[in-house]
Amino acid sequence: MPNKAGPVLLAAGAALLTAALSLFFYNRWEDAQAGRTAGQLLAGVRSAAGQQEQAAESEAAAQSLPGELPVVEWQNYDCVGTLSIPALELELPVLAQWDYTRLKTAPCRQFGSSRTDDLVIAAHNYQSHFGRLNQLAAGDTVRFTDMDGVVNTYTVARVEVLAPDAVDAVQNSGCALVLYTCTKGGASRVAVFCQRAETAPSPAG
Amino acid sequence: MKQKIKRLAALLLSLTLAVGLAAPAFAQSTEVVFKGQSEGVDLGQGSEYTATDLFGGLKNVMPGDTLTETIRLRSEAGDCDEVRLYLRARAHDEADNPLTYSEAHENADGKDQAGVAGARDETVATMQEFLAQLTLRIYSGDTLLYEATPDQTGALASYVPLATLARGESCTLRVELKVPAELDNRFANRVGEVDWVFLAEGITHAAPGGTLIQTGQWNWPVLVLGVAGLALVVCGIVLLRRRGKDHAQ
Repeated sequence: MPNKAGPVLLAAGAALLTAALSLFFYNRWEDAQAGRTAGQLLAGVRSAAGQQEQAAESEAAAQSLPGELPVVEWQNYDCVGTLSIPALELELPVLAQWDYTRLKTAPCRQFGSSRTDDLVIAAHNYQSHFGRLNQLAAGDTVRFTDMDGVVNTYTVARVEVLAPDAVDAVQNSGCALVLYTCTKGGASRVAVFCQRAETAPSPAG
Repeated sequence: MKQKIKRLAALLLSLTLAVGLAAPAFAQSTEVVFKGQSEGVDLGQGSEYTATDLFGGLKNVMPGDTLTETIRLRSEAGDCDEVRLYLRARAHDEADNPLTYSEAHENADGKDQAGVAGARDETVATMQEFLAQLTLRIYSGDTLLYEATPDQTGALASYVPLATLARGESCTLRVELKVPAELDNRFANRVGEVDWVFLAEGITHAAPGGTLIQTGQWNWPVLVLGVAGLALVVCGIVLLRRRGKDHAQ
């Protein structure tokens, strides 16, 4: 048996290294795939939003609730707007609701609305989504444009690492916009708390 | 506090007005009970004009009348903690939202002027002409929500929040209709229909102790597998070398 221990350990080690490499490359592939899907969704949603008839828009506006964000559907994805973070050179669509399948496609609204200044957006820690959120610093600009073209400009107030059960800290933060994702290891959350910039929301030019 | 909000019901109710000649109109009250997502809404009886007519007291109105009717909105929803209510008016349109009042009843109660079976006297255009003569005020408690001629959606073009009701709570809408004294015979026996959409949202307060969404990729196993694999490989190499030395000796 001792004679065989060396080759067995070598084989087991090689298998584990292969598994690690496979998982690493799968994660990178998934990340790139998520970036491509989000890019296609962004283009599709912009196009769909542009094609909306005026009448349909006014009927939708009549049926929407105060504070409720307008939704544009593209290929079965309900989108409430787009998020732009110039410091990370990031522009992403934001889906109206979250589940784990949607999160693989794009950031999702978890709570609130930009119209009631309590919007919370969650996304995967893919590099193409919110993976670089921890690089933001106080004073950076974040823009959320809703599907009516209303541009909401925010300034990063603080970046914090939170425990996974800090729901109240995110939902009732008093900040107009909160973005969060998992830390690299997944044990905690990186949350970016934003306040409205001095300028009021304005229609997109 | 985490909340789960779900639309319970969007309810189309009508305010049907009928101008008469003799019968007096009385102030009345109606109750709409929101019973929750599974049981829906209890509307009461409606009227002969429409099954969803809330306004039994606004029939046979006379020129010069000012009539008041109250609607009590009550929540008995057992499948949510609170019900949030909104109201909007929906304009009639021949194609998208045609008139719904009963032509048979219009005929039976003598309001039908043409007497042609299967054809209502009113079209959207004639009804709007009639409604444009009247003044409608809607109060939620003491707050004036709407004041216009009832052919216009006005301030109710979009949803207006009415109240948030816990189970057993209620709120009151007071509807005041003013018929001008100078309304001439041209408008006798006319019927008007106004559509209101009540929207009920059920709010469930989640129990504390929830967690934020797990948004991480499986990155940590890469490190764990990599380190473990490397350790095993090193151990394996050490053992093999040791075996090689033993063989050499």
